Amino acid sequence: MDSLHAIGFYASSALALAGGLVVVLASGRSLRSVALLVAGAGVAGVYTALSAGFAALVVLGSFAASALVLARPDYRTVVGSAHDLWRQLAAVGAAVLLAALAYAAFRGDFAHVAFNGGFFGSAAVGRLLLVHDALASEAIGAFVLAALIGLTVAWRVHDRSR
Amino acid sequence: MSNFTPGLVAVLFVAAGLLSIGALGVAWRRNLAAALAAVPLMFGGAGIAFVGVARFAARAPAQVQPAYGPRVIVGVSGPPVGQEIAVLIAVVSLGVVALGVALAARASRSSAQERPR
Repeated sequence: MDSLHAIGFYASSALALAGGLVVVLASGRSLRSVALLVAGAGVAGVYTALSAGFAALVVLGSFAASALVLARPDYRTVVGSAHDLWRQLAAVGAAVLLAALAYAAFRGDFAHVAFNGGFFGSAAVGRLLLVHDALASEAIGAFVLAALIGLTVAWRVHDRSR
Repeated sequence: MSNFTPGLVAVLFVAAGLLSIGALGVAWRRNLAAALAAVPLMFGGAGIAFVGVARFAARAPAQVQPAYGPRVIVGVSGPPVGQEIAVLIAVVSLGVVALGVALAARASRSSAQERPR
């Protein structure tokens, strides 16, 4: 990895983590959607620095679509009913998860190899998606199709009931 | 400059940070929209870990005979399965958010209908 890729990796990582923090801490819907888009750009930048250009395009589209879907005000009245103690325990659990994953990454013994794939990698990923693991791709495609149909039906019902 | 070259450990640190931020958002926020917005962060962190492993990890060792000198063993990277899984994770993330928003819209409609007038 040369210097340009290293700078891109660190800048994109900072963008993704900062955007993620804003997503979690922001209270406004529009600010949250913009922060999600920024975090998606950061994640896509990390993918690009790691020579996964095709995956970067897909994840950027996924984050942008999620931000667009979440920008609608249909669900503003839905508030969870979890007790404060459970929420605090879950937050502590997230911190413990971070510590455990960071410790595992720091103490791990990893081999370094020369990467011989291309920068974009669409041909190799396409072969895997459409030939080697076609059943998994079809299953996930069916799931996303069902989710989008459900979302469309829910929005139509919601719009008619106004 | 070589000390600052990111390796698999740096990639896994970023992945762990993003995953934990997403887990914090899902667990901490009361508002369902805010909790759903943190779901792509968790999936993105997992995808970064998969892409990093595909970028840096060796699939199998191979022996190479140079023109002069003894044979050396090098790591050979296989097909980018990690990138494939990252693509699938990104698509699943969009599906989960769409499903969650649909359920939230349905729940908000039913709660509005049950509200006493």
